Amino acid sequence: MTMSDNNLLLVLVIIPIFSAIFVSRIPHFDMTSVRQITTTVLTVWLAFLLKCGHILFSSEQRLTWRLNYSLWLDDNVLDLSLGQIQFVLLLALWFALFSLFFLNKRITENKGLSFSVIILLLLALATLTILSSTLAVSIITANLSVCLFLFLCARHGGSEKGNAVLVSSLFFLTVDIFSIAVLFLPKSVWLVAGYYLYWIALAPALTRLLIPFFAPFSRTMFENSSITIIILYVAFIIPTGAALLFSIKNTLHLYQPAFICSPVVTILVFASSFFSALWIITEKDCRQIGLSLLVFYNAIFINFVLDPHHDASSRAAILMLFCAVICASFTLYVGQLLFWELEHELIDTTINHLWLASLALWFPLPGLGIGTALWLGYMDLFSSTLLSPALNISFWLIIFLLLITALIQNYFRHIDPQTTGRSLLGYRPRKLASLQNAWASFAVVLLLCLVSSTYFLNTGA
Amino acid sequence: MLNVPTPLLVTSVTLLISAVLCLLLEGAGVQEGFKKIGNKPHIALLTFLSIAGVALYSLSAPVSFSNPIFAFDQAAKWAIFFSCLMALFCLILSMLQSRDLRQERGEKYALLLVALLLVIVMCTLKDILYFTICVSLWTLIMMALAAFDNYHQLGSEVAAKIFIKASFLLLSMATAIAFSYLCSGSTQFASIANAINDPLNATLGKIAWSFIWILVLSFFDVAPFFWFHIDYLDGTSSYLSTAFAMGSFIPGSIILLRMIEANQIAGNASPILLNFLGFFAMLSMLIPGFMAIDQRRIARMAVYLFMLQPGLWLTLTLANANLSQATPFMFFMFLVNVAVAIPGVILGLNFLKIPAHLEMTWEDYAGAGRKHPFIITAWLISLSSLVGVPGTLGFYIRMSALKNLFLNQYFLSGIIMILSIIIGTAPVARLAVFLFAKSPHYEFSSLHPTKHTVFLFSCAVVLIATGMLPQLLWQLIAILPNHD
Repeated sequence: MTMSDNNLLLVLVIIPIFSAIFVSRIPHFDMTSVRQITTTVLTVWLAFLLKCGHILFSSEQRLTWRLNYSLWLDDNVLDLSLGQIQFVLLLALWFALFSLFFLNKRITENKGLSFSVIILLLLALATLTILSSTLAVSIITANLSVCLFLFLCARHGGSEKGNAVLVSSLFFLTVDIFSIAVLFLPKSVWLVAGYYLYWIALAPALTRLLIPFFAPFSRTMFENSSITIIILYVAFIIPTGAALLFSIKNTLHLYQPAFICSPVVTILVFASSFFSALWIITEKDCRQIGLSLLVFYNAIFINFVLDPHHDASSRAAILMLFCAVICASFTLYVGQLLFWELEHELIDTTINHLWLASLALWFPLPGLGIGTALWLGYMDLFSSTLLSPALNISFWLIIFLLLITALIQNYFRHIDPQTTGRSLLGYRPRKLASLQNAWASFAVVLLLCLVSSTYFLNTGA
Repeated sequence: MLNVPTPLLVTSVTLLISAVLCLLLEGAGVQEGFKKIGNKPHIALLTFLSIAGVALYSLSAPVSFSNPIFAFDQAAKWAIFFSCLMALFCLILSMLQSRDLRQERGEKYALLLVALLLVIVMCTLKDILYFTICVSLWTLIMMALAAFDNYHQLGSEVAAKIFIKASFLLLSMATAIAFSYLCSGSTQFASIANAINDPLNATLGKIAWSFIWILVLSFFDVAPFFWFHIDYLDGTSSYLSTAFAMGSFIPGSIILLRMIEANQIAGNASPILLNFLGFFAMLSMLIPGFMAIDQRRIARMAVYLFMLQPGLWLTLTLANANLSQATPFMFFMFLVNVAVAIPGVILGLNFLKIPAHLEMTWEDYAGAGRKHPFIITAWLISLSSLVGVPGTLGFYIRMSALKNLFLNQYFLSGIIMILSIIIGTAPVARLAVFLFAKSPHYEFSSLHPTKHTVFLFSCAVVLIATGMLPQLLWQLIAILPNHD
C-alpha cells in the first residue's frame, strides 16, 4: 500500500463536492447534462470505492488519511480511515442511490437542479461521516447531513411538511449536541454517571437507525412523502447512523460495562421490533412498507452491535444491514410502482409478482434476501444474557411470526386477485417499461445477499 | 500629563484629521469651483481610505503596556482592527442604501469617523472616568445620526430612547466615579480593585466596583439591560445598526476583559463575583433566544440574535478560570464572529426588494430562497454563526467554551450553553423553512447589483472557513509583525 492509495479516501470526499459546485453552474434548462454528470459521478465514485475495497481486502490493512490541522475542536484532526465496516456501509449507500438514479431515469428532470446538487453534497458529507475516525467530526457531519436531508423533505416531500421538518431538525440538533457535550465531560464524571452518559452519547446513532421509534413526529414527515425521500433516508441516514454506532461503541468501550448494557439493549430491541411489526400490519400505504421492514431489522442490527457478549457478531451485523439496505431500496422502488398502479386503477400482474418477490426478500429464511445474513447471527440473537433461553426464543419467535403475518397480510392487502388485465387507461404507460430493470434489480439483490454472506462464511467471524 | 501610546495617538489623529477634512470638503462642495473636489463620492472615498489605513496600521503597530490609563496590547489591536472592519461595512451599507450618493450629508461621514475614534479609544482604556467621557460622546453621536436618519421613520423616537438610557448610564457612572475617588483616590480599574483589599475602604470599593460592573454590563447589552439597544438596532438604518453594534459589542467585550484582569491581579476573584457574572451570562444566553422566537418581524428577530453575543463572551471569559488559558485566541475568534456575522446578517436583510407596505414578517419572506438560493443560503450561514449551528464559527466558539466549562466543573453553565444553541437555532430553522419550503407570495428581486452581494457571500465563506479551520487562521495572523 502506497501513500497514493491512502489519498483515494480523500478523493471519495472531494469528487462529490467539486461535482456539486460544477453542477450548480449548469443552466436550469439543461437537465439532461445534469443527469448525465450526476450518474457519471456516481459511477466514478463507485469505481474509486471498489478500488479502495480491493486494496483493503488484498493488503488486509486499513487505508488511512490524515489532515494535519485541527478541525473544529482544538485537538481533533480530520482522520479518514477505511476498514471492512466502512467499505460495506459505503457500498450500501451506493446501492440505495443506484435504485434512485439508475432505475428511475427521469428523477433529475422531475426534481430540478438543486436536488442533484444536494444529493452530491449529501454523498460527500455521508462519506466523511462514515470514514472519519474522530467521533466529534462524525457527529457534526452527520448533523449537517440530516439538515440537508430535511431541506429536501421540505422542498420535495410534499405539502404540510414545514412543522415536521422544523421539529425534526431541532430534535436531531439537540441529540447530536448533547452527545458531543457528553464527550467533553471529565473522566471523574464518567466514573460516576457513565451509565446515563453512555446512552446520551449513543442517542445520535439510535435516533437515526430507529427514527420512527425515537421520533414520533417522523411519521408525519414520511407520511405521503414520495419514495425519493424515503430512499434518500435509507441511503444517507441509515449508513451514517450505523457508522456512528460503531464509532461511539469503539470510542467509549472503556465506559461500557458488560452487565449494564444487555438489559437495556434487549428491551430496546424487543420494543423496536414489536413496534415495527405492528407498524407494518397497520400501514396502509405500500410505499412505507420498505421503511418499516428496514427499521425492524435495524433493531436486530443494534442488538448484534451493542451486546458486549457477542463482539464477533459485528461482521454479521454489518452484512445484515447491507442486505437490509439493498432489500429496502428494492422494496421501496417496487412499492412506488405498486402505488402508481393502484392510483391509476391499473392492474398489472408483473408488478404484483414483483411485490411478492420484494416482500419475500424480508422473510427470515436462510438463503433468501435478508435471511442469508440474519441466519449467520441467529444463535447470537437467541442467546441473550438477560432472559432465560426459552423465554428469549419465545419472544423472538412471536416477533418473527408477527413479521411473517405482516408480510403476508401486506401482500394480499395491495393485490386484488379478482381483477386481471383490466386497464382504465387503454394503453401501456411508459413507467411500466422499467419492469425489466426491476426484475434485473431483484436478481442483483439476491446475488449480492448470497455473495456477501458467502464471503463472511469463507473468511470466518 | 496624559501619556498616550504612540499607536493610539497616530490612529486618533488620523481619524480626527479625516473627519475635519470631510467637513471642509462638505463645505467646499457647495462653492463654485470646488464642486468637483468636494463631492460626496470623494468624501466617502476619503473616509474609506482613512479607516482602511487605520485598520492595517493597528495590526502591525507595536504593543505598549507601561501606561496606567491606556493599554495598547494585542487584544486592543485586534479590537481596533475589527472595529475598523465593521466601520467599513457601515460605509458599504450606507452607500448601498442611499439612492443618490450626491444627496447625502457629508457630516454623516465626519460623525462616523469620530464615533470610530471614540470606539478605538474605548478599546484601549483601563480607566472609568475616560471611559465615561468616551461613552457619553459616542452616545451623543449615535443620537445625532439616528435623529437625522432620513430613511427611517422611527429615527427621532430611537434617539429619544437612547437619550434616556444614556442619561441614566451617565448619572450612574458619575456616582461610580465619586465612590471610586472616595475609596481609592483614582478612577483606574486596578486601583479600585485593589481598594477592595484595604480594610478601611473595602465597603466603598465594593460599592464602586459593583456600580461599575452593572454599568459596563449594561453598556455591553447584557440581558436584561439591552431593551433600548434593541430599538436602536431595529429602528434605524442598516449602517447605523452596524455602527451601534460595533460601538457596544467590541469595546464592551474588551472593557469586561480588563476588569476581570484587574480583579484577578488584585486577588479578588471571589465566588460571589463569579456567580454574579455567571447569572448574567446565563440570562444573556437564554432570554434573547426566547425573545427571537416570539418576534413577528425578521429584522427584530435578527437583532435579538445579535444579543446572544454578549452572553457568549461573558461565558467564555468565565469558562477560563485562569485567564491565560487560550483567552487571546478565543477573543480573536469572538471578534471575527461579531465583526463578520452581524454585518453579514444586516447585508442579507437589505438584499431583497420587498413592497414598501410590508413589514417584513415571516410570511413576507416565504419562498425568497427559491429565487436567490445562494445568497439566501449565505445569509442563513451568517445567522447560523450567531446562534452556533454546527459547522460555523459560532459553533466552534461555543464548543470551546463548553470544554472549558466542563473542565472547570461549571456543569449548569454548560447545559445552559447547549440550551442556548438549541433555542437560538429554532428561529433560524423556522426562517429557513419559510425561505425554501414555502411558495413565494411576491415577486422577489434583488435590491442591489450582483457585485454588491460579494460582501454577503464573503461573510459566509469566512464564517465557514474559520469555523472549520480556526487554527489555520491563527497561524496566518502569527506572521504579522509585532504579533505575540
